[in-house]
Amino acid sequence: MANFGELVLVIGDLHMPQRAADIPAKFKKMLVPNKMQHVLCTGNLTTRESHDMLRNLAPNVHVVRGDFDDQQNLPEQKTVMIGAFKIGLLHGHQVVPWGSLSALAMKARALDCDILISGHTHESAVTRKDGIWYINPGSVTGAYSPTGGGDVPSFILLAVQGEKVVCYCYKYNEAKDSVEVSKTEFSKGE
Amino acid sequence: MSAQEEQIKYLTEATKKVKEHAFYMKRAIDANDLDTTLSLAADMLRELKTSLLTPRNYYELYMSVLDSLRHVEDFFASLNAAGTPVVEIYEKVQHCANVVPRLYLLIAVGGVYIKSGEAPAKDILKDLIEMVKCVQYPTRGLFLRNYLSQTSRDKLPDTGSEYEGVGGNVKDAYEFVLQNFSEMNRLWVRLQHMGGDKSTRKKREKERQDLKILVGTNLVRLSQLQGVDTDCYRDVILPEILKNVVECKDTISQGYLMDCVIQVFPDEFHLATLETFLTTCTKLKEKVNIRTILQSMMNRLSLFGEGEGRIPPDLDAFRLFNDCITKILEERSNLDLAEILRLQTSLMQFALKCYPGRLDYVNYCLGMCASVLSATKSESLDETSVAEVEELLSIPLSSLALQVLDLQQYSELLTYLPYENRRQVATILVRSTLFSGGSLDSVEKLEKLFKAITPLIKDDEKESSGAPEKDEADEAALAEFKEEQTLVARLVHMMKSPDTDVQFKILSMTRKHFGQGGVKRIGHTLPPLVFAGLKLAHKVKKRELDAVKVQNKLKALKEKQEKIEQERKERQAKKAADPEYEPPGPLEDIVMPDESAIPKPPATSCRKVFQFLHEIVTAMAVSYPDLSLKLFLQSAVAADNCKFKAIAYEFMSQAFILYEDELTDSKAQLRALVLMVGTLLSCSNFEKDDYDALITKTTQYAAKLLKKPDQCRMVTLCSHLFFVGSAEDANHYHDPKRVLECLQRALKIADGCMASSAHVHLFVEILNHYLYYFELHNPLIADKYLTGLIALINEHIDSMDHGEQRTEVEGMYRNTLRHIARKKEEEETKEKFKSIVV
Amino acid sequence: MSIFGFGASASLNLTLSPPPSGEFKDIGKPNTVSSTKDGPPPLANDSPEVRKVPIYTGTDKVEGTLSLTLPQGKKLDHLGIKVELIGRVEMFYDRGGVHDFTSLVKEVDAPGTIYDSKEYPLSFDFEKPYESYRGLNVRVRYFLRATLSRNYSGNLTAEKEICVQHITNEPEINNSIKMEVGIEDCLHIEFEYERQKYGLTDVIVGKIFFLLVRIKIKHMELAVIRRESAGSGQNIYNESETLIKYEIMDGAPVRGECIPVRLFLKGVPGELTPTYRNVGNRFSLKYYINLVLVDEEDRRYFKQQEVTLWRKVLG
Repeated sequence: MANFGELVLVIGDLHMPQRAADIPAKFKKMLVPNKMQHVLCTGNLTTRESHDMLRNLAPNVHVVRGDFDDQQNLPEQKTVMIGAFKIGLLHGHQVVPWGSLSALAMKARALDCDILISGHTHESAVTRKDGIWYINPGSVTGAYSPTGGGDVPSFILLAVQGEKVVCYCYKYNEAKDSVEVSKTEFSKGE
Repeated sequence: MSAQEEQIKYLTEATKKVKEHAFYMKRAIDANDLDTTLSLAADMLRELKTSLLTPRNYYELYMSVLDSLRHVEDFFASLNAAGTPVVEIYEKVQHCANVVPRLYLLIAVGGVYIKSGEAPAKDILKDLIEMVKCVQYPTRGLFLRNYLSQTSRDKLPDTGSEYEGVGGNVKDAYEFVLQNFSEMNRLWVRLQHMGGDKSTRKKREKERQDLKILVGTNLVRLSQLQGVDTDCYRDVILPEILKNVVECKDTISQGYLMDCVIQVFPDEFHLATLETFLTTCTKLKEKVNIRTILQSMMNRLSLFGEGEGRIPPDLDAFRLFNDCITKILEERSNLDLAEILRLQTSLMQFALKCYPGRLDYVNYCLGMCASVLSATKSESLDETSVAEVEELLSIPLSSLALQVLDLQQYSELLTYLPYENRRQVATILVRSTLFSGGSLDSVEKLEKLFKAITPLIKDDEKESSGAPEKDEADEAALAEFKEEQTLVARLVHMMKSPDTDVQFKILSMTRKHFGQGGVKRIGHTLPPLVFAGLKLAHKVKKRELDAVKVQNKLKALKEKQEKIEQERKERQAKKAADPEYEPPGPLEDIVMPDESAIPKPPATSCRKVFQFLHEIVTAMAVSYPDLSLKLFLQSAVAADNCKFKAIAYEFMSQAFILYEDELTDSKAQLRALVLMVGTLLSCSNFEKDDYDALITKTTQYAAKLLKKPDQCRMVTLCSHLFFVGSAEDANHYHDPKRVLECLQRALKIADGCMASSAHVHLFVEILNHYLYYFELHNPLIADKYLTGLIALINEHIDSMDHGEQRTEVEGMYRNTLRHIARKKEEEETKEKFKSIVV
Repeated sequence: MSIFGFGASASLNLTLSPPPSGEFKDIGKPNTVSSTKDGPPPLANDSPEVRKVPIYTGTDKVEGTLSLTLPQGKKLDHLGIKVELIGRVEMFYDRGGVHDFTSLVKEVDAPGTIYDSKEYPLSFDFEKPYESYRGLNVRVRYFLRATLSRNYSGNLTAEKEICVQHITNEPEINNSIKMEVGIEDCLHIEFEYERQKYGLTDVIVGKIFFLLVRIKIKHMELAVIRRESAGSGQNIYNESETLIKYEIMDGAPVRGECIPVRLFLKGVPGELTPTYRNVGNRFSLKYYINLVLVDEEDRRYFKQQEVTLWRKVLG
């Protein structure tokens, strides 16, 4: 197997069982233990089972609290060092207006991070602004969102090699029952 | 000395003697001395006369004797090769006065005899099988015959073998094996009756179990005969075997041999003889576990059915098994209920595997159980039977999932189970339904499902409640309850009718059922229903819009058609008046769409869906205020999205009421407020007055938070409410003054947080907001505020205690300044930022 | 060599021509020597070594030569030379007794003086009514004895043993032995031997049916017994000898079982002879097969049947 460096699963907004029955089977097959070193979860697991599932995937699991998470012990936000990158992680409902990059930029400055990961909108995105990478894994279950996002299950996999990151964005196409992947690469200090 | 030690002693001694004799015997063989060899071989074989050893130890001894007997066999063969006719040796060994050694030697020569071709194989086999009768002692006889079976294995005149022809044919081969089988079975059975009282019975049974393979080997031999085809098996072999099985009247033997038959013979044979086999099953002793035999046969055929083969269509295997079971039930009045249920369960399993399409079979089995159960007088079933019924009802779930609900008997049988067990079955049913991935697309289907899984949906009237009490120490029960409710919740997402009207009916009906679940359940079951409703609302809205579009189009078409009609009439009139009249061109022919093809507006309006949602959330509001508040907010966004300003406002108001009336915990308040702000910013269709009212309230809430830092941050956050959208947006809302007021107020609060040293942190956060609005061109946020704030921060930051907090603040501040610096350099912002003094 | 040291002396020697059958019998030490204290008078030519003795049937002519050997230059006066052929029954029991049932004397030379070694041809043509036999208490012997009578010194004698065997034709009537025996409510069996009369190398073939088995049988055997009855009236001496105990079944059969019997007479140790009904009113010899059932407490149940043995071939 090629050396991808450290693999980081970025996943969130499962909303099971409130908004979705399950993660698509095609995804489940991909999300197996002993492949990833880190899991960064934007929250809204909502149940212990989902939490346990993530914990089985990788040795390092970081979860922040989503707006529908009841677990009081989950942090609102946190930062994690992976490779040369300081990664900020939060659910995103705390940043208003929801999904606004300018607002998120304030958060990125506050967390002093190179990459800011947030969810909540249920729309996966990888964006660069003012030297910061903003990553949104979307909802892995394609959970409903009243703002019009969702419907397309998605997650993101980061391959971190020192100062380089390859970002794979997986989207599930329900009509075709297939998984589509797009790829973005970036380096620190670009 | 214990019996075990005694055994070891006997075995050791006997084995030692065997070795001694064998040693001298081998010398005699080397000296080519037949007479001495025979006499020493007889001495060695005499050790097998012992009655002291248990079957297992006797086997050990037998193996070591056989080991040396091979040399004798080879010696005979070598004598024959050197010119001695085997018949001479064959006669000579019979001079031995002891029967056991004599017969072992006779078999040993017999093998060489057959190989030599001096006499037809069949004649020698017949002689051997006749002579071995002389050993009637069960253990010794069984082993002697095993040696015969082993020696003759490759010397039978089977079809295609080298002994076929003069040596006989397959008939001679199978008759030989069948006879040996029959005699061995008799010896084996007789072992049971070798005296002793009841206490030795168990011991005997164990000994017999140890010996069974010797008997079974004969059946293996039969199955290996090339010349035995299906006809032969059906007409001769199986009837003969079964005759022995029935006639021996022995429980162990019958059980073992029936199973053996199933295991050793090929599927094709079983298919050809199923009826005979099953008829025999009904004739077995009462203590024989017929169920395991039938199960074994059914498994065998199922595997065949699942694999490459197929059960021939003219063989009604299900009926045959069923007839057999019916007969057994008739004749065995002592069968307990659990066993009867197990039989039916096995049959049903068979039907599921071999006749996947035949739900009637499954239903039939269930029906049989139902009638047996209804005939049982006792009010409550015993534990085992309950477990059986539970098993019976669980089995079809994995393959049929929801289809079980089409089985009339299924639900009826469920009623025989106590609440607890019904709950277990229900859990499996829900799991299989989820796993099967089928959609729940009709009200009828759901009605049936809910009936079947009632124990998950509501408490039992009579018995204990399924929902554990809060103060209950039993965490496991609580976890199980949660798990079950999670399953039920997931079920909601399987409810997918393409027709929004049907979908609404489904959700309404589900709501009715879930509503009866009690406070503990609805916290789990209603939220998914809310989200399903929200999803539906968007769909209905789209349908409504589509319908309007179509109606508009249709209206336009009709108008056009009318115009053309008018024109036609005018032209006709002109033509009538003036025959010379030439129309300017042909008239367009409007084809009106088929009425039935026109999409109809939904019977259930979007508004109605929201009303439905309102009811659900309101119902759970008192018990789950925090959750309900969030659901109201979600609904508000959705309603706004569907352009229902009033409804959206109503949802917001409900959320506010909950905030005021139910949320007392400051942390919960903070979390709720954050969401309220986010929600308000996501809505864009409120009437201005309504919006003003809402944001004013929100800001007031923010200012009333318990902790100063929370107040400060929330007020800052609220500033966003006054500056929505860009100036180009049609429904933007800009109130620059209020934004500034919020930020200034926040600064003031922050200034009051010196005690907790949070003020610098807050200053930097507020600075960022100034910066945010500055960039958004809020006319009142001027460069001087930024410059001032930076100076303020510079002033305070150095006085901060060193530590984590300071590092954090410094980082954020550094980033902020770096951002300003960047903006000062960028072409398009350079001008705007140049006046800010850092 | 003369024991008196007079150097070589005259000797008599009997030589038999090969018998018409061409068969000889190996004879070892008489099997009776050890069994009787006051045994038979030692025979001149008895020796422990195996000897080959010609076999004659009852009507065969016995022919041969008597040779008189004289040392060179000697003469011999004699009172006559005769050769006797004697058929004799010897009894060892009680005080014993010898009874010659046949005695035939032939004068081969009249009294006179003989100067040279000389040979006399011999030919005896006579009926030999009984077979040679060596039993426990009884022996039947045939021998030739040559006697040269002299006045002063002792007689010169020579003896020669012959063996007589009678070949019988296949018996015309040879029924099977079939019988049901039993102990009430305990055991009921039926046995069947294919024939009653057997050649000496035949195989006894039969079957045992178990009709009722209530005793715990350990095993079953077939014994071959020879019974020699000598004497008459008050002084009958019966001597039974079990020649072989042949195990024919191991373990206990159940009702309805049928066990095969096969016994090779050839395998019976010791020498089988035909059945002798009556030998010169002196003795008889009969054979029996004895079916024995042994139960777990070593009780024996048996049934004895006489079988008639006859000789098919010499040897």
